[in-house]
Amino acid sequence: MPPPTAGGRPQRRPFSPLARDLALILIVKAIVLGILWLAFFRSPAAPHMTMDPQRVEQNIFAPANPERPHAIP
Amino acid sequence: MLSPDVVDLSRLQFAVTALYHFLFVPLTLGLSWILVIMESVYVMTGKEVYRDMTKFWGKLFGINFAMGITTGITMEFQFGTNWAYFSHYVGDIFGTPLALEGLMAFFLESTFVGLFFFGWERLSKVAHLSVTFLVALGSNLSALWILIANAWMQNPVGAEFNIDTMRMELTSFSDLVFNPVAGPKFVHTLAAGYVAASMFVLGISSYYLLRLRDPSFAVRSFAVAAGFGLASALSVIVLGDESGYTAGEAQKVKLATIEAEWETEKPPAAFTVFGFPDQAAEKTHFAIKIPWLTGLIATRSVDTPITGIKDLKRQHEMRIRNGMKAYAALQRLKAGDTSAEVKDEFQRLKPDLGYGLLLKKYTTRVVDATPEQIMAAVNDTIPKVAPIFWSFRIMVGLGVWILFVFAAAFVVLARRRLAANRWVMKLALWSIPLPWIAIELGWIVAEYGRQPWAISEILPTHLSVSSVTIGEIWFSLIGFVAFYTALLVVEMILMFKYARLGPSSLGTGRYHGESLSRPTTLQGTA
Repeated sequence: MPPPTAGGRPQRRPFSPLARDLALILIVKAIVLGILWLAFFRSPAAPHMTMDPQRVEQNIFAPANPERPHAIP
Repeated sequence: MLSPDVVDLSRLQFAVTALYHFLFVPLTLGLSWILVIMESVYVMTGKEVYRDMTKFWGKLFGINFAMGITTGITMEFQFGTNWAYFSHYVGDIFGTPLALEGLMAFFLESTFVGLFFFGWERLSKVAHLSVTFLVALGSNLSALWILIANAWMQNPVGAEFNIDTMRMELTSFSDLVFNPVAGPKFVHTLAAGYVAASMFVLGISSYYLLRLRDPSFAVRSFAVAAGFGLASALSVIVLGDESGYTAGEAQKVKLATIEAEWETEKPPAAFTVFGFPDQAAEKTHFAIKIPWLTGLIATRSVDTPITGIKDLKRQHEMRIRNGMKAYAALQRLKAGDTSAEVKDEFQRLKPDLGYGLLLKKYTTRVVDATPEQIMAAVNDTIPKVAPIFWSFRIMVGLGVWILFVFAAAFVVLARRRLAANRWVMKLALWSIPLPWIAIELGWIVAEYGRQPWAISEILPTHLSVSSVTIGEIWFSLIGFVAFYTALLVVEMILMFKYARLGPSSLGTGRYHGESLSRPTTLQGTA
């Protein structure tokens, strides 16, 4: 139990420097991940891991964005 | 068809994030059980030193946990954006395992990690030990679901391709969970994590012992790590053997590539210890072989052959030609021809549809592929041999070295000769990074060895990638590398700081630098 103060109320134990550092790191991490998501991943082509089956068909039968096929090595 | 740069960059991005992520995972998997062992001894004996051990190593566990948590989420970001077609294909299969992994990781593991740190003063001894046990169980079970999903990509069982939804759909949850590749992969990965954590504790404890610091604390930590590490290192080897056996059954190409097995040898096949695989010439130069070994490991018999790469390519050519027919049948079905003849043709050839899709890399008209295009696709069915061959051998070599370090540590400790064998402590200290190197190489063998498939024999990697621009991938890749590198640097700084402080960081007043009395010898501590 935390030791009581002179007034008899329990003294609050401050967070250790490590706990403070880790809490800060977790906050910074969440912010950086949020920024990366906003910048590059917020509009996934397959939200919830599903796409319009017709788009998948197009990819398999007639690509929507055909580029030059690979040269035969 | 996408530019090869988009495919390669997307692969590089996923590989980089996965490899970085897995720098954090093994320590969480293994150190959690080491904490359980230490705290169990504390509960059973009531000796304060075991409580201090649990708290101190728990502190290092906490640093790693805080750094590692959410590092895997970036891969899920990439699924929907860079790998949309793959994502759609596997969505029905991965939904359950990934949801269960999320539940395990966030509710079980994270909740109990909080209780572990803040519950020392609030919970009874047994209740706190239960919390520590649940932390270990939660972290290990969350790995289970990820590895089940991964195993399905290596060996897609319990699912069927649905032509209406154009994706794989789950037909048997039990087949998914009891995939023969999943079990060995799970236990092999866990045991490797236990080895990494044990080497971490063994090495840092050795550092204290070499500096004559806190011998009572350090030698007990050393003992726990040596025992747990030795058992885990042996398990990794035995379970790796089991993985080799399942690879022989379900992943023949990967096995042949690991062994640079160009020809189908008379069984039992030899193991190539050393050599220089030459993919163009399809031979291994200066090969040094151990007779029978690969055959015994991979087939558990003396008369079952291991199919060589040349024969596998012949089989793949047949499957590509069948895949062209399956592709044509699918085209007809999708165009509205639902005659029984076309349906039967598709059903019969469906297992080879993925092979037909390999041709999409070379032509948009799969059904009219030329013999040259077919041969190019056949050559693609074999991943680059040399990187896999060498990664595997370095991984195994490191595994043997690690086993030696644990065995040496265990023996000198059991014979109470630790103080006289400082070399063991030095070996342990300098061996700390080796399990991580072995683990990363293991993942390279597993994942690079699956190429050219995103889902083995179902969906080629080059058809899994979405239409993202090269610029987007470069920028996000740079962002990820910067993010993970920063995390790793911070982890290293904190780990070095608290490992150097040692148990004195607990502030109990009992350890190095906290009192005037300082031990000057290790005699009697081992």
